[in-house]
Amino acid sequence: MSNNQKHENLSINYSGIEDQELVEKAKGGDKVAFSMLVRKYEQTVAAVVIGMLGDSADAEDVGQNVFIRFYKALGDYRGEAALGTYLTRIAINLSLNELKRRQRMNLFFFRPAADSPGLDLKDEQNRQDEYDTKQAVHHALQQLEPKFRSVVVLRMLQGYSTKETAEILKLPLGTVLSRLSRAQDKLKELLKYLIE
Amino acid sequence: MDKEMLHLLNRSFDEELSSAEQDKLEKALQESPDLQKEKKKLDLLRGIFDEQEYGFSGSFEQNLMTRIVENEKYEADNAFMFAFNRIALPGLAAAIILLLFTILNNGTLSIESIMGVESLQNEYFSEILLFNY
Repeated sequence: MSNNQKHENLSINYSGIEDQELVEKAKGGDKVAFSMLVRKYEQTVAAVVIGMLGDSADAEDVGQNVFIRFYKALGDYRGEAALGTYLTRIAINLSLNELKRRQRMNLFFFRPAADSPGLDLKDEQNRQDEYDTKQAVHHALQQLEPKFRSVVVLRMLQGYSTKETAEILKLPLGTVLSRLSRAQDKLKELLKYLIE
Repeated sequence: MDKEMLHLLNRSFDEELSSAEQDKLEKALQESPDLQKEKKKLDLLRGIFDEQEYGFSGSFEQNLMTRIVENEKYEADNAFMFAFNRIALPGLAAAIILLLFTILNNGTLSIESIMGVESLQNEYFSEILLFNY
């Protein structure tokens, strides 16, 4: 199933009304209702957080913080945005905060950032031998700067339209298009052994 | 490869092209094998990302709910201590100040001096009652 279809199916199989009912029950203290929401949207949040931070214990921690923040702010959620989009917005913000925190730690300890671009890449043959496609995508994503990575995660991984991506990131549409174009050029280079 | 057509091809993935732009792109794709190759690469790239699926560990939900319950318990305990400290500590401070004041004024810390009836005679009670009523 493509991400675009996944993104649409969330609104077909789990209608907004059903989400709202679960949210109302969760607001009333129903933990079972809240855990059903977690189960529904865990993959959505995981795609954003792991896409932004890499597959690590930190990513899972941030993923949990997304849902904890949602839990604490249940009273504020009025259903104006689709719940998946609402959680995606929280996930992106917390992921970007985590990346900033990592950058500060790396500066403090004079360590090169693990997720900064410009690291030496192994030659293509070795990479092809060592990594499967998923790991290659994963590694390529981590080579992008956070501002490019976020648009790729939302547009190319999650299947949001460019307009939705701009709304979630609170950026002008032109900025999103420009960043997507530059990110795509970089990804073509990083993953050329997969697409040629 | 025509840079303008390449740019149009890139835009076609993320923007809605006008019908004139679409016609122009389709014509260029028919005529240029290089552009067709580039489109194929971009289709593959987009397809690779589209297929990716991510998930947290199997115990994610359980760990999360445990953490939420623990957070709630911690906040409840903290709320009680916060309220207790806000009332008990100022109350205690006020009591200490009152006792010190009594010692300084009366030179003694007896029940009568604390209640302020040390030097009160019986006839003063009737005066107090007549004055107040």
